[in-house]
Amino acid sequence: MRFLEKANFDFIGKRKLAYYISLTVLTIGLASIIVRGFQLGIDFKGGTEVVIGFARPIDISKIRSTIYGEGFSGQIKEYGSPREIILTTDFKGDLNELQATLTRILTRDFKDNPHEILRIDSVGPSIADDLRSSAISALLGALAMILLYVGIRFEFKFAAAGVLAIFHDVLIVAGLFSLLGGVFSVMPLEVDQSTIAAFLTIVGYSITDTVVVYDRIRENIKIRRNEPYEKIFNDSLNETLSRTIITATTTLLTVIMLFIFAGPTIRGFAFAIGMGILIGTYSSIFVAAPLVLDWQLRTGSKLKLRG
Amino acid sequence: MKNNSFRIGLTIAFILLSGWFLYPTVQDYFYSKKLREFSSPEDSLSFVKENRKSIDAAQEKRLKLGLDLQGGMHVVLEVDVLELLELKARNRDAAFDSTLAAVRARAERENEKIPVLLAQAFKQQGIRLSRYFYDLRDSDDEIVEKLNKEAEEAVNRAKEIIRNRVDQFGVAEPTILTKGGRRIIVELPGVSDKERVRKLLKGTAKLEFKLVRDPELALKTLSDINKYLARQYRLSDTTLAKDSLALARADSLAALPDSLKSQEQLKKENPLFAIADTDDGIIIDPRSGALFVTETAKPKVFAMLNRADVRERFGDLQFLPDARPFQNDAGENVYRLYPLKREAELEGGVIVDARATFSIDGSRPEVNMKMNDEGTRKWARITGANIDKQIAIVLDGTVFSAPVVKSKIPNGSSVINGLASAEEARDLEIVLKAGALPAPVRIVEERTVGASLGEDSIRAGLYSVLAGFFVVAIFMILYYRAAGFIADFALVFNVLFVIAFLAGFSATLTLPGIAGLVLTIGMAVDANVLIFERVREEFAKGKMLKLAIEIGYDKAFSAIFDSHVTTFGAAALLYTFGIGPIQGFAVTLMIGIAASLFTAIVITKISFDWMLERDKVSIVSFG
Repeated sequence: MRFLEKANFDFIGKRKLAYYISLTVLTIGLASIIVRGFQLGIDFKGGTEVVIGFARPIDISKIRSTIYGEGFSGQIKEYGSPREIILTTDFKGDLNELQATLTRILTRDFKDNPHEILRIDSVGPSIADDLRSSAISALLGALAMILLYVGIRFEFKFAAAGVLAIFHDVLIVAGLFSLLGGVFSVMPLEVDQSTIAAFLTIVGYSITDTVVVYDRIRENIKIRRNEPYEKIFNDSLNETLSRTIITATTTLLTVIMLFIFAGPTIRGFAFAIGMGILIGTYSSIFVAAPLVLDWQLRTGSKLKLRG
Repeated sequence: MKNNSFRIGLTIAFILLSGWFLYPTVQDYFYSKKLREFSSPEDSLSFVKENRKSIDAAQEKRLKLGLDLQGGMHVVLEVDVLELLELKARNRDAAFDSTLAAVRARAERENEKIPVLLAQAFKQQGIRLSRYFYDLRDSDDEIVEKLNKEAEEAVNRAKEIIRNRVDQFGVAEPTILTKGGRRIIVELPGVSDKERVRKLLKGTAKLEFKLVRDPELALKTLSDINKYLARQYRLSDTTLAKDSLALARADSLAALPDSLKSQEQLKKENPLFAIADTDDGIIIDPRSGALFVTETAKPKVFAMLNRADVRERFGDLQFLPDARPFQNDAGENVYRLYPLKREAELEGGVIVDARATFSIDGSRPEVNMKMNDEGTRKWARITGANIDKQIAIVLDGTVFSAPVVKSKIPNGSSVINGLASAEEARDLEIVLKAGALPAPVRIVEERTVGASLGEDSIRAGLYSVLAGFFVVAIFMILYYRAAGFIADFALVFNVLFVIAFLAGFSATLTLPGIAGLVLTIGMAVDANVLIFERVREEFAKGKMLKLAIEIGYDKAFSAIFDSHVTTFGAAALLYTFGIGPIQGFAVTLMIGIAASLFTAIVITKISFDWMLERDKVSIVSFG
């Protein structure tokens, strides 16, 4: 089987349109991040989450009235399935009281539907601060490292455009998290540690895609010295197109499997990576290489590539 | 083929290494399966005895599951260094208390060492640290250094004590480490009784024996303080404070006999006591002079008693509540309040042994304690000098019991009773044996996973690995035919290597780790896709099969290498900055990326060469 074998799309010619599309989506995402912000998970906000599983499906409004009736504040939501709920509340040093009260009132009001506390996560404000700064350092560190490595292996323009493409991908996915945060009950799309892990995976995937295209451009520039850069860039994109699509497909397939099978904690993570793959694929074609080309055309000097 | 013998050797070496890494895991699995099959406990015990060494070795080297997969608790404790410094300081005054409160608030947000923060805060007010700590001649820097050292020692001691407690509680394979200047991470796989564990970890276990003072003295002191507080409130009452005449009037009104005042007025003038039927202060039993406080009033009363200016007026007196409340007629929890001598007669450091038992009539759980020689001598003297008086047994600032001394106790024994359950007695035994923490600890993070959720997660993880593998495998075969099959063959080794190296590096497998493995499956074939697409291109240019394959591998290499390095770098950063389960994800991703560089290039190349050699003409197709 093969498709896109003799692909000859005019990607480079359409790059202005792609820039507009990217800028629009980015603006919407950024606006949402600024206006709506994120649904922060307890990792970054601090707080306590209790996941409670019941033997049989449960009426969430009855649970709410029981738990709120006892003077709890916080949110109660269905968690992945109608048999499980998640209670999110403030951080308190002592979980014993919380746990004892929950056990008491749930046994009292739902005698015929036994429950079990499946998971408790409780993060204090000082830890949340630490996690937040670690997350930011990790993301910035990754970008700096890539800038350096790609700069050494290719050229500074390539590195800078690659990092811009990563920014593009991560920001759009972050924008999606901001826009859709709390909309779906199957996946809350809260920003927590696993979201950061997903972002870093997107960073890795996006640069992989971009590097593969760069590699072909590097090769073609060496062989075809006298052709215009536009043509070399566009041919390189077309030559790597089938690989780009196939790798995106296999990775997406596994991410879909994760989304389906790996349970609610992994779902938001899988969603982020899935979106990241789609956007990363788009950006390696329409953002990274075209940016290098435009930059190149502006400066006008010959590209001197290492490697 | 010279080149290939090296490649084959390398592959065999890796496979053997993986087998070596995975052997303990397999062994451990069969041991535990066998142990489950024994019908009688005697059989399994003798089996364990016979094979102890190899069972232990297997358990130690097997692939470890993270807490999210096997259930358990991850707790981060923060040692309250500030409290340690507070206890250490001399001449504590209001300025000290307010500075401490400010530093406490800052410490919540920042990671700087506490003594440094404290020094900064005092410096802003122009106060030298030597006013409170160490020698007056010491400079701030010297004191900060000394305090830092002391804090560090306290954290390490706390870690050891917590390790003792955990060991005595009986948790298999606990992990206990310190992190940053003041945190202790405790990981307890498989524990289910969360409430007990929390208590066990958190309790300072500071045991003190304190003399109970006369009720008359206590009452006199409390009413002095009551008057002082009432006057303070009048002074801070803005409506009165502006007008000195009104203040004087209020003062003289306060001097009137109580019978002439309204209830409201009385309440205002007795901030510390419960007036008439209200329960919002200290309740005095008119006959015995015993003091009580209700659960609701307790925080308010202690907030007043703990004020620096109030504390100064206590002299050597101190008020501590019961460990356990009783219920009054109205059904509310009430604590007795004991007036104690501030200076402890004897402290828990003298305890050498503790044992949870039942009282002589067998009904109530209690803990028997045994003291060392020094403690025995002191205890004999103390009890001898205080016959017919009460000595309170105080643990972590609450009174467990306050028995009347009947006679001198010469043998260094003492008993704690007033315990709720045998379990509590047992936990008390553990903490008393392990010793007191040098400073209180707080739980700042806790992640607990129940065993059943862990099992669900293992199942979910297994399904996603299988599903991920099969969809990718089938896709590759559909798209690349025989070549796809070879890529799948290499993929099997990739998964094997990842799991084996996880076990070999004694990393833990977590649910995000499994997600990393699944993702690796999807990304690992990328190298093969790159190569196969190149080979197809070379075919299209009319190259012969064998040459096309050689060129394909050659040309694809630089792209594969660069992309692997960058992804590996991102994963490595994630490992450096992430915690717990996320680190598990980063580790699997890193191993997966490194392994795919080998499997997708070397193993597939060997396979192609082998197939090409068998049939001179192509059975190899690239779809």
